[in-house]
Amino acid sequence: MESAGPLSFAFRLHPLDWAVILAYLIGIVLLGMWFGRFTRTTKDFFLGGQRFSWWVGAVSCVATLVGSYSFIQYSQNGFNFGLSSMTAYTNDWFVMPLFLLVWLPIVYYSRLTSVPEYFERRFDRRTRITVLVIMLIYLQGYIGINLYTIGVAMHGLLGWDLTLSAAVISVLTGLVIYAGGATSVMMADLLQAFLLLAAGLIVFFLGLQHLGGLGPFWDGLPTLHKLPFAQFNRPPEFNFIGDFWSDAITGTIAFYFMNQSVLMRILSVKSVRDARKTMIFTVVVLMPVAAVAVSGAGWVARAMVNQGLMVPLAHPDETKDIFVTAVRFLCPPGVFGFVMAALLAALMSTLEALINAVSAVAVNDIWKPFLRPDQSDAYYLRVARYISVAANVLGILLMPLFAQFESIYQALSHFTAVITPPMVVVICLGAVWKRFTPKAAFWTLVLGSAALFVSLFVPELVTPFAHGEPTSTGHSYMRSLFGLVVSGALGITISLLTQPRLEHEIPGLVLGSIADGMRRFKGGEPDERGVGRTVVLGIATGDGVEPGHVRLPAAAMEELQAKPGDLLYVADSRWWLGGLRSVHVTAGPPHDRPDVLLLSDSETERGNLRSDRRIRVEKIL
Amino acid sequence: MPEKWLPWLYQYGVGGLVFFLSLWAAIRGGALKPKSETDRKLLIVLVAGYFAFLAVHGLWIAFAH
Repeated sequence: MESAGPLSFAFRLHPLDWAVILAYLIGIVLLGMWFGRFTRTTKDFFLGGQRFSWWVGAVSCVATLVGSYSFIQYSQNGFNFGLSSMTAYTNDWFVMPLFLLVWLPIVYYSRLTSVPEYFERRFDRRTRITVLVIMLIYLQGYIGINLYTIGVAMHGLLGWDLTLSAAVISVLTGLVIYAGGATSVMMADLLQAFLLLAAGLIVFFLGLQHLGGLGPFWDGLPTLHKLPFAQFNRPPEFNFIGDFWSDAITGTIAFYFMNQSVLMRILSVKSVRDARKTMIFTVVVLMPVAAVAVSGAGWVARAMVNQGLMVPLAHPDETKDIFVTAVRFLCPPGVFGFVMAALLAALMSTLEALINAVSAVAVNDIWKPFLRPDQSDAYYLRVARYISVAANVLGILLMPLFAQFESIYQALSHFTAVITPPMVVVICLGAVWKRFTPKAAFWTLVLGSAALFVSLFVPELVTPFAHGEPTSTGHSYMRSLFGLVVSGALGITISLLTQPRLEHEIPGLVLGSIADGMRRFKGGEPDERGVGRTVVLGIATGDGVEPGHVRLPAAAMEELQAKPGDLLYVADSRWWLGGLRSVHVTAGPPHDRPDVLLLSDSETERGNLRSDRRIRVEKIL
Repeated sequence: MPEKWLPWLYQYGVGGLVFFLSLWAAIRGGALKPKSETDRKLLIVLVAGYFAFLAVHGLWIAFAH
């Protein structure tokens, strides 16, 4: 193992590490391309066919939510501020009622494929276009930050040129996206999520081992570092109140509600019920585990420095490299390669999701409605793939913009605090308040964004909201609260002075009309009796079974409490496939052949089902 | 009161306000029906989650020295 100190080993990577890294990169690209064969339509491309089990969605969410910058910035925070670096990963629960009970069913039952589409249907086209612009900036900016971070990490570890590193990773990512879109991304995420969490936890546990266990680790931390929260409003670079408003409230809503890539993952799950399970499991279990994985290197490094086991850093600026330093110090050859592969995995999975989201918005919100309407699905699929390539290139071109900031955390915070608050307010008011008008939505976005832009040059505007944070800090984080308050005031005031849309014009798009959305989704009266129950049957092709329909034995219908017209989910009974071989259908009249589900050839093909395998049937609605 | 408790009070106070107001709005708007068995389970999970995070953080602060 190397001794710590300035990075001086950049070109002395062990052959075993090279072998592990190359094996991973080649393997993940081949895996993604293999899963591409399950991509047949744009629905498959963008939503993975809405077929996956809840646990696939949960693991994929983590792989999307934890980017490569997470390891770098949270290890740095962990080293400088201790266990409070976990806060951003453990403060998501407050917005869950709004997400699980209101936003998720609205989006799912309305069959939305993009967030801007919601805004047109809820408000009007100009609001959609405004949101479109903001969202594309948001997503494209995140692509740039991700690529910049990997460039920094690769440069520090391997001595590669920053831009070259980013370009290589973007090409590899583009190959996976080009081949299969959301389906290949979702399935590749399973492997990448495992690598991601495992690598971070391995570094943490190697550190504990080096320290001599949990006791010495705990003793090696200063008292302030042992607390779950940072100090209330200081120091300016990281404090509780800034984290609460910029992350727990604004950031969480922006990420789960507005971030197309996260939303697409949740909508890729087979039902609202499963999507809720996905979110609950993600927030309660996976995110805290991920918090340890991304911060642990910084924590153990701090304890090792305090215990005299690691040479103190020569300069405070070196803390941005603490993840790399700790990995180099702790990991033997082979393990180091594994961690490097995980870092690449973190970037690629987030990058894949972001690029997929950009292409979804670009195709569904620009190309289809404005440039080339009424084309075939195969045509739009081709366009989606070309746009994925363009998003990669633009991300690389944006890298110099983010390089101007002192740290990645600062770059990210500045960026999200300026972009997201007006969108957060419009989404929340739009989803819960029928009185919220189209004019209010549009002007909240425009004037709210303008106010935030002005506050960049006049930070005194933010000071009254800053809870004691000094103006000299520039209020990178508390700008979020300023944005929320200003946008909220604008939205409410303008709404009260303008006309809302009529209720029958927005069915299923706002709280109080979700039942209407369910009715339209099903094409009939929703019936949630028996939802979640499962029966296992054989499968046979039946003459006279309509496409899109299946026929079950009467006993199975009774078990599911299903009747003709109900929505069903049919999947290969092997649970570990996660829904890869599955299809949504409508129940037809029952038949009297026991233990057999009858369906048409087209449904068998659409669901990639195998006639020699038993299937499980579940009632959805 | 020691300063270390201030973030916890603020997070679960202000955050709790956001949380419970959202729950109230969902129930009032018909998105959550406590009479339904499925919705009742979901409500229990949500509320239990809030208090679980509150308790874990509270105990953590109490024992961090």
